[in-house]
Amino acid sequence: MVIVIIVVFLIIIAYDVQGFIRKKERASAVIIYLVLMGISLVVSVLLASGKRPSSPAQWIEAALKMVGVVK
Amino acid sequence: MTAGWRKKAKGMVLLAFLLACLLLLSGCWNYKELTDINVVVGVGLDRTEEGKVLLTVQVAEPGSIQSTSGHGSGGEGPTKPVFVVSHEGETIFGAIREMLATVDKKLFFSTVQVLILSERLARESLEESLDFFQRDHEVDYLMNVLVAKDVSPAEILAMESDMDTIPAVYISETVENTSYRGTGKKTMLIDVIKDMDCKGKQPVIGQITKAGENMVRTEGLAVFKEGKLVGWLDPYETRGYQFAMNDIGSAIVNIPAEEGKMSMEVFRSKAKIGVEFEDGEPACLMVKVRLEANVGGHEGKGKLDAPEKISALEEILEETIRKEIAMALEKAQDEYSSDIFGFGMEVHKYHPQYWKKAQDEWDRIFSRLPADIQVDAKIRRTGIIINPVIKEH
Amino acid sequence: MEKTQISGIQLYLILLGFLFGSSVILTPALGAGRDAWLAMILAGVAGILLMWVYTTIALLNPSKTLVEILRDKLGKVIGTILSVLYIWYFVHLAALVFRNFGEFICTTTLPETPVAVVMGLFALVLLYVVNSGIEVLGRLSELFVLILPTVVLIISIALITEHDFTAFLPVLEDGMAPVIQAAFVNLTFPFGEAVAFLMVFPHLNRMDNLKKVVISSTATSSALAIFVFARDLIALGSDLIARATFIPHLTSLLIPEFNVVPLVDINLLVGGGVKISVCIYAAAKGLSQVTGTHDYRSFSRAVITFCVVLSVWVYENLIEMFAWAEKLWPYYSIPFQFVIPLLLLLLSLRGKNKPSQPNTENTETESCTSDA
Repeated sequence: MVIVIIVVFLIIIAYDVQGFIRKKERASAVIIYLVLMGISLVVSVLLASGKRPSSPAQWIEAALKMVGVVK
Repeated sequence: MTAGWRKKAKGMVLLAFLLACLLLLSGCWNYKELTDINVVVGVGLDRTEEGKVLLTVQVAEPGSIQSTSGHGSGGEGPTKPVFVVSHEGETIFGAIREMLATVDKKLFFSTVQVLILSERLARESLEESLDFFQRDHEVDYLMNVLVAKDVSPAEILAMESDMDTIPAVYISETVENTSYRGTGKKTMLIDVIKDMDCKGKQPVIGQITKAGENMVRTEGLAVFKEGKLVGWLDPYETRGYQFAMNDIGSAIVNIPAEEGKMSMEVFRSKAKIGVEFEDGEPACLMVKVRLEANVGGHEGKGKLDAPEKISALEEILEETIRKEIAMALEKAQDEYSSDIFGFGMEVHKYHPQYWKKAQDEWDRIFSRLPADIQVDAKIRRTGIIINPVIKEH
Repeated sequence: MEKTQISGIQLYLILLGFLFGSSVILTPALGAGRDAWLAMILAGVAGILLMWVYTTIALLNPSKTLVEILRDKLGKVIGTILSVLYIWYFVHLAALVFRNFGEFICTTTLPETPVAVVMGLFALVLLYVVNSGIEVLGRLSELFVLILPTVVLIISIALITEHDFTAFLPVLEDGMAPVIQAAFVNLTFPFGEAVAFLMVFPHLNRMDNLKKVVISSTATSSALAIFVFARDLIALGSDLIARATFIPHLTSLLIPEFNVVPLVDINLLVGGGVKISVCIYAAAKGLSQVTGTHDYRSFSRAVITFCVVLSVWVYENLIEMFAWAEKLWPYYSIPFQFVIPLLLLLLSLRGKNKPSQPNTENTETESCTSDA
């Protein structure tokens, strides 16, 4: 399962990065792209191996509680 | 050149991908052939002495039904159109799965025609038992629900029927025909689910009894209170209840006539219930029934040629039906103290302020209220003939 | 920007699919119980006002997307930060819809299929749609969105015998408070989510139609949603409605003799598909504008992948999803749906009165010609 995920991600990343290079996009675009895919890859590998990291939903909940909108 | 090659390669990859999809996506993930499942047609729920669930299923064998209803070319395949298995388990869903230890293929529940509950189970835990049937995605909300009186669900499901190859279908057909008699009630799972959660109306469920070696009888009602069976209504009380609930398709009401009996065919009936309020307190339960009937039979002597005679008959018919309704209402009030008519719902809808403070003791308030039952019958026609053969004494 | 354009009717249908899509399975105003229809009317009216705000912003900043408007009005740094937050919001919204969709399919039709597989396959199709451009989405909407009201009609006619018109009673049993609360929830879901359309509006071929199109579409979806709720209420009664997971699905189960659950599924595929596509498009477009890339397609694969992963990651189970959507989503949405748009509206109105930007009025009538 984990291997399948990594392979799929690598294929997508390779395909897209090649496109970025061909179109000579800015470095910042490539970096943002890689960050996005990197997070996706890490999280999905973690999820697939059963270690669910705390989710953005919980962060937002905590943030809203801190501001005091929600109890 | 390279661009063309790239395009070609891309096309090939795409084609391979699509072909792979074709292989993988040609059906549902857990698609099953008819031959891979057991088609459940009837389910019985019982509770053992130790508080366990006793689940009985009636499973139809599609293959053998064809061979028996065909030209009897059989000789191969199983001869019986259905088989019945029982299993004891802690929970219903648990029992369904554990049953697979003795049954060959997975049980398929979308085809269930009847769900039969035992008296013991109904007296102890209707709500808990039906939770699975509300939750599961395979369950058909329109299946018929019945409570077995003086007989266990397993016994009923084990019966063979002469009328239909599948006994569960035979049972559900007898439930369907209640719309021609009114002495029973077709209770679908959804009806029970709707009433179960509602403080203003207590559920009733159709009753099933054993009528003979190979026959069942679906007449009468099981009355519930707060999710537990508290008693029964007999066929006539049931018909009164059905009249009040506006649930009569057609019914034959026998009335005494001068020198004989008459059978009135009620072919249209509209009913409305309500609660009259005085000074912010409920004062009286109202039941209004308007019905139309034909003279369906006159087993006696006399003439029907004068309008006065018809209106006299109308009065007798009204009184007969009024009595049936009163019988049902009195039983619900005095004996069971359970608002099966849904008067509480009417209070909730039209007097929400009062309902808010009274809802928890509504059954008690309901039992004390006097009732005003108005039946308005119109006799429209007398059939092909007007007078019976014997006219004079 | 690309010269892709959509017609008024296409925008109308995309927005209709976007707003009505999730209502096929979820009833956001349910907090008000049997009075939800009142809350839905309130939310519909407020939703139209909100659309007026969004369209006015778009008209005052012709042929500019949300990201460009933000950077224009609030300066490069703050504008970029807010843009990134909006992009996150769109991605999160798409992930939510993905999860709703997946949970519905897994609850009702394919309980043994892993939710990630359902969503992944759906994502493949939507990726194709998004990469084909907003024009193709418009044409797809012309083909498919009309299925939504048709299915509503079919199911309603099939249920015509199953009714209790007094199910609406008593009205306002618990007073106005729950109704207003539910109306607010309903306003943030789905009406306020249409803020994503600020990325799409510049593609409309005749900007003078914008207000008319958007507001009539909002009114239509609102009316449809109220109709669906009324149908479910008179068919199921208010007690059962409070207990069901997916109400319209339960209603469709009551139809005797034939199974219309696939019709509900199709509704969801169309409505959810349109909604996700718009969000993904908005996010990918936003990313490309933030980074100064030529083509949003460079990011669409990344965004959609991230969405699928996020949708699995974000909630552990169905209950958590429902609780979150009901309790936190509305508050979380306030800045994105109300505060920032209102700020932009004020800034745009001020900018309009200033003589320093005289060409605002002209370009408004000319439709989008300038390159941002």
